[in-house]
Amino acid sequence: MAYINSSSALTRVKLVMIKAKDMAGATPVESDFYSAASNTTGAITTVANDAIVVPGLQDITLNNANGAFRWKQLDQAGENVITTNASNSLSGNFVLDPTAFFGAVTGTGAGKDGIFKLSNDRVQVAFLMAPEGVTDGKKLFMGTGFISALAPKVSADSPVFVSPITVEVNGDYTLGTAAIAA
Amino acid sequence: MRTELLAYFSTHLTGTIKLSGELPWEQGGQALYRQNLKRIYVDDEQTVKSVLQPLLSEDDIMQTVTTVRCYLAMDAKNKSSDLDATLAVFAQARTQSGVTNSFRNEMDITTELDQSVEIYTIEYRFYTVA
Repeated sequence: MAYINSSSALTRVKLVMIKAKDMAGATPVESDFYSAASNTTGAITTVANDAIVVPGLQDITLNNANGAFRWKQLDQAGENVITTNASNSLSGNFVLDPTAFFGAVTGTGAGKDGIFKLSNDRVQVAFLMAPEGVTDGKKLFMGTGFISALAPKVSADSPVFVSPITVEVNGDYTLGTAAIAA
Repeated sequence: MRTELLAYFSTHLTGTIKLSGELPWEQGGQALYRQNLKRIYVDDEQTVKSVLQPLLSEDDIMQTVTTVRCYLAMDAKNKSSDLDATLAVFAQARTQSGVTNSFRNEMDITTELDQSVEIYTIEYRFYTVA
């Protein structure tokens, strides 16, 4: 059996975000987030649209929870069901990087604003989540949504700020295949 | 951190219990502190790195625990009159020795008897993010 392996530098999970208004089209595509990546190192070498490559990810969960409508018929012993609209969200935890969280000095988009401002201002973002990295042929989840659930926390035992993050997904995920890396 | 502790002890130990700048090496099969009573010996630093925050990337956030052990021996039948003051200095050194980049400082004092000599082992542990 094959499995999605995120354990090497080439296949690290990546989460990239831009402002949704910076997308070229109505739905996000790979080139909205970066224009160059390396098939050798697995790194995103040139971001597009001032994207944030979220650093310090500790875990990430992709939620695709379909609703269900059930009904009973007198001629059947079991219930019938169809699935209805899904609640989609992307959640995880990350260690706060000052630049990614508070924004950069320069830039024109998400990177300049930073994750906190994108959340605080309720800016719609587009995201790309690469469960097995961005080398050619790897699958990519993309979509748009809003950042929520930020709760930076520090404690005496762990003096490094860590925060949960959720992207409440607006509509469906788009599944793509990485093709930019060289 | 050994340097900071040595500097703190040399400033604050003014009684009959003195500080030695030497490491507690052995001579004739016996540690120096066991031979030279009422002398404090500060051993070299031991460091252990462990993961503080695991990340999906390869650059986990690490913590370093630096352990420094100090030794003091004295005649159990005739303890020094300034022993209590010396133990207070040991306790104060945990937070006041000038180690500024640690987020947690711990200290233990343990004693053991070797014939008529009581040996104090003072262990400091400084936790830093590295």
